[in-house]
Amino acid sequence: MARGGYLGEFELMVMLALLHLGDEAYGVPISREIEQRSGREVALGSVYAALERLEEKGLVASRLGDPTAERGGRAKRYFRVTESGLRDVRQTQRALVNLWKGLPELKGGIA
Amino acid sequence: MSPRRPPLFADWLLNRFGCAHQNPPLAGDILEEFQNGRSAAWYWRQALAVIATGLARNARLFWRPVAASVLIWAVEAGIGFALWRVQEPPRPHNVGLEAVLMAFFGSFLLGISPKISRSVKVRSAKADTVISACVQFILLLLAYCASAWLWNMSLWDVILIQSMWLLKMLENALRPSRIVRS
Repeated sequence: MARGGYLGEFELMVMLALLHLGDEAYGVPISREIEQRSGREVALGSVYAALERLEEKGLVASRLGDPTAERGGRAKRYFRVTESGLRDVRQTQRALVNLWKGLPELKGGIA
Repeated sequence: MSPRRPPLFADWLLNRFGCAHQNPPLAGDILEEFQNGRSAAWYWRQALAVIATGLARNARLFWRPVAASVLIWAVEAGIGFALWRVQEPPRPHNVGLEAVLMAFFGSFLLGISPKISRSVKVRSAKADTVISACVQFILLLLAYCASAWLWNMSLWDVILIQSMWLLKMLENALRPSRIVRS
């Protein structure tokens, strides 16, 4: 069976946050999006580590913005999902949905 | 309104060990969130997480130089402890012998470690790393001799010096500016 195309839990969260945010996705809103939707605190270092892994795999692309004073003169790095990234998200979603289908006792959120 | 200042020591750690100079956007994001009202404790947590993530990543990518550093330290520590057990304080000729042995082992191990790995190469000359290791070793030996002769060095002094040596070697091995992926 072919390997690849499936995302890990945190990588999937980062990818979904990127899709929610669109063109304005950089470290701060990405971590806030994950925190708000998942309810857990996220370290920015972990978000960047995941984004770098995803960029190495070609699933996200990044560009540098302009430096601002409130950031100590440092630029923002904007991320976006690539075509192959979108394909992997869909593939992971299909796999998870298929796995869920076989577990009727989880219907209605009862574990 | 003047901007809040992040905790000084956490900021220093972030810049020194958190690779902030190599990933300015990450350091900027942390500062921006802090300016938006996050607490000093939050800043500390982020700084420590960045350091831990960076070290784990570097250790995974550059495990051969790290392993070589630990091996060199083990040999150096072994010789140091043997000398300490045999005679206290150490005599100059024994210290000299230790220096020669360590320069040899250090040069050999640091020299061959990049060759073993096919995916990692040392950007700067290997000689740079070797010379740096030897200079650090000689400096530590001077501290070792001085403390032994002046204060009749204890076991804790030896442990402290060996720990300094290990930390310095690991820092050199893990510093990403020295090493790039081919």
